[in-house]
Amino acid sequence: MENLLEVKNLKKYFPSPRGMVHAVDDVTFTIHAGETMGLVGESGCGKSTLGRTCIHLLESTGGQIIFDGKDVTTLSKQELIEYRNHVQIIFQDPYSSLNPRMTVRDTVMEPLRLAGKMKGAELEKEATRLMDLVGIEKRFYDSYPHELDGGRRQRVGVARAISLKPKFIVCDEPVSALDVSIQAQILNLLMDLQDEYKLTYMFVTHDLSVVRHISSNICVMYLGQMVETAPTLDLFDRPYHPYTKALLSAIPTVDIHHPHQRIVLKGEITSPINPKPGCRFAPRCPYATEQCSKPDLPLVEVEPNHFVACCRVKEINQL
Amino acid sequence: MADITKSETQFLSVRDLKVEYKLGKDTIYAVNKVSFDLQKGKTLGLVGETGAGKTTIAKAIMRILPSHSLKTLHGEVSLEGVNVLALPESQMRTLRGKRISMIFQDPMTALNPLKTVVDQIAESIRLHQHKSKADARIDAIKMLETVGISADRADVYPHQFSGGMKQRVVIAMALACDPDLLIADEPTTALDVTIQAQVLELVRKLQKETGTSMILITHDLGVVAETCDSVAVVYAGEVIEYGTKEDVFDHPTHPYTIGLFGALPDLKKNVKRLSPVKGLPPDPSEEYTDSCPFAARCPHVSERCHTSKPDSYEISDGHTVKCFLAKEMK
Amino acid sequence: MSETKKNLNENQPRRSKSEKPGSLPYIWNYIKHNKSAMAGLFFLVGLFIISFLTPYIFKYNYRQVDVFLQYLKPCAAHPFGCDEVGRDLLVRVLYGAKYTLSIGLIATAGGGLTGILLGAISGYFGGKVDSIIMRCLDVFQSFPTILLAIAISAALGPGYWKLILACGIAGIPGYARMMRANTLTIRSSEYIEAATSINCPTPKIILKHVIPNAISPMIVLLSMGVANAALVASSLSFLGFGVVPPTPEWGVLLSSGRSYILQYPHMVVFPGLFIMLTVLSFNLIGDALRDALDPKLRN
Repeated sequence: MENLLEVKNLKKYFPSPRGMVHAVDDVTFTIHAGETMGLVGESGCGKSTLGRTCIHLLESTGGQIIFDGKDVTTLSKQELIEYRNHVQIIFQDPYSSLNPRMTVRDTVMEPLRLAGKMKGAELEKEATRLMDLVGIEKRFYDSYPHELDGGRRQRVGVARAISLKPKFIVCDEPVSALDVSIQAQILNLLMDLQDEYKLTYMFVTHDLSVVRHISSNICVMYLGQMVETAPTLDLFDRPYHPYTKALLSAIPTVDIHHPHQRIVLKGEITSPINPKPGCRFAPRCPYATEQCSKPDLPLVEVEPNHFVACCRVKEINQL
Repeated sequence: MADITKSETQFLSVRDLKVEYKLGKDTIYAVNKVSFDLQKGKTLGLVGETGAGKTTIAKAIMRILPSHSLKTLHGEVSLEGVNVLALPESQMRTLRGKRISMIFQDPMTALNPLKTVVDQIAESIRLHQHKSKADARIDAIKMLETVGISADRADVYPHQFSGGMKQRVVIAMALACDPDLLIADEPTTALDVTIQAQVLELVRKLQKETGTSMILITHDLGVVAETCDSVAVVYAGEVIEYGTKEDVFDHPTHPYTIGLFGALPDLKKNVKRLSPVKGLPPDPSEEYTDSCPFAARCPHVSERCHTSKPDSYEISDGHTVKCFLAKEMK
Repeated sequence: MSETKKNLNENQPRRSKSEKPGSLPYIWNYIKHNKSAMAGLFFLVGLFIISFLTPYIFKYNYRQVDVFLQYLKPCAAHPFGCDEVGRDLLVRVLYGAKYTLSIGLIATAGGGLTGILLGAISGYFGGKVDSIIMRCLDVFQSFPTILLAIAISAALGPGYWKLILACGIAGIPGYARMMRANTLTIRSSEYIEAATSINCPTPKIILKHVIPNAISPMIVLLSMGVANAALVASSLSFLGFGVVPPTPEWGVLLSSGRSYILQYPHMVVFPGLFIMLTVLSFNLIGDALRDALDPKLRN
């Protein structure tokens, strides 16, 4: 399986009145073609920023992005237009990701119309095919977003994203704003489309049960840093990083006969503005020592393809 | 109608609660003849999706429904024998905050941005316990410490707190007057999962210490599993399944309940495709007087589901289900 | 046998455009029921039509001078009386309506369009572009509107189109500022990000995605703006700028009658009354539009 997206030491900083916000700091990972990489973390960890930076909706501050073998870290205007034909994004909020004044059909047709490759009847036919593919009923083709429920709006977002036949789609919390029963419908749709069109997804979410269902690999982030990355089942069976362990234990389980021991983290999340060097989870970590505030977090491979950014990982897990 | 007896001895007893709103020319049938009980010191989970009517039930118990659009409020809500719905507003005001308290979903908007957190808690104490300003402040600080906020952060404004801390302040406010009944409306939905863990832990601890009974409204079955003793599944303003946690989680009977569990991505199982409940939530302006509201989405639907409305059938002690299939199981 | 009614969205026939909040048919539906707004609308439309039809309705021409009818008080033959050179005031007032109305509308249209574009560009790009545009507009806004209009008018000289230009320019900062605020709100919407992600060129994003969605609050501002522009135009004409006699613009009429206000009040009362009614009508319509477009009141 070849690498579709390689990200090396990616940084994204935002200037703010109180200092530089280190939204994404030194993140490295690889996504293979046809896979789904789950990007998980809680609010403020930088996962949405990372997703947008990879597809050039935001410009990176440092590091390297390699797509399909080509370095796309900096792109000229023409190259950017070309790049966007291969990478797309599905947004979180079905209520603000559609232009309230455009019908479903208009929204779905817009990318193709802008690309200029299709016109007139051919364009209409393709739009109809796309809307059908994502499960939008015929009577809604000319509806406006406010006439649709969240699930249908999200389907429109999906249709728009796949219209240019991209290879890679960033799904930014696509089901978080939907009710549980509708979530399942959209997740199934995304997985079906992936099978049929050999798509590669970066699935950004805070919901661990959803990500377990849909991803082949998972990358856990905390405050802009990547703390652990592993194949999905490995991560859930054997989490190594203290944050991952706490995160997994925090999920309420529906199995009432086997409640698990919950690790309750102390304190609050620290600020991403001008952070101190070293591991940002240290202030809340039950295993922290002074070693943890040294810069340059080591990335330890504890198992094949299972990486952990923790200097004490071997001791903590008795390896 | 199943026999939920001993309403006089239950701590909270809701019988045939009905709430209707008017929206323009239409009527919204928000709550349709809901009945359930709550024992002292226990927690009841009200589960359902958005728009099912759970918040309306809570607001009806507190009698804080918007008066300008309220059309009908029928039924009986007995709090230790007293019908709360029949009380005059003046008496209801003494009840609210003192005996029944509510935590709302969004901590961002539940707090007054212009007052410090200690002032907001002290205000509640002064109103209900008629204490002096100084005494109320001492109590308020104690309450903040109980929820894990140190005294030196008492004179802070809400916007300076994170979401989790704001929610803790809200909990402190709700429990400041030592209420008998606490209604928590999706208290952790807006919070990150690790903060949710902290907050749920806190609520459980406080509940054990004070013996407060609680109604927890949520759409998250995991939260219900961890915190509740009994569960009422709400759909289209009706309680379609009701029982202890073990009853509902181990033996879900109503097709909607089964569907809810099937739609969940499970951390332990590897399922290729999720089995969601097909279709969309029901129209609240529709009154399902002679049909089952779930019929349009039910995988086991039959002719009679469209022509008559199922009652609540008791399939085991205390476990009731509003479905014709349950009738056969009796 | 009762049929289970399907869900809200499933059974609904395709909603016609009139249901879309913010669209023209929707607004019309709403305003139809507002009595004062409809009264205002009838007044304005009626006035505008009559203004063009005066030669066919009345036997007096607006320039017809008759020395014997100087300062004539209102009577049966001349319901509004006559002015200082014996011209029939009723005809002059009605004929003059077209000036006030047209100046108000055209000045607002021009100023509004410019303001909308500037505001949208300023809000969308932010940074240096925003600073430059806003600082320039600040300079304009530091003058009271009337003074600004006077200054521009004095610089340009008298004339119908120059008056329109002055009134239009004086109105630009207000529109630009509001449009900028609306744009900033929309700027952070995800559909704008989505437009970027599908390679929508920036001018198209502004024209197709930003402006149509930011324009609702502007509609109210614009309708009030017409009233304002009409008032400014009349004021300028009253002061001797802009339109000059013998053009029967209402401000000019007021100016001519100013000296005789005690002896022959009819020369001032009638033009003044019409100015007031016109401004009132625009304001009533503007109020109704605001209510029609207010999402909170809709529920």
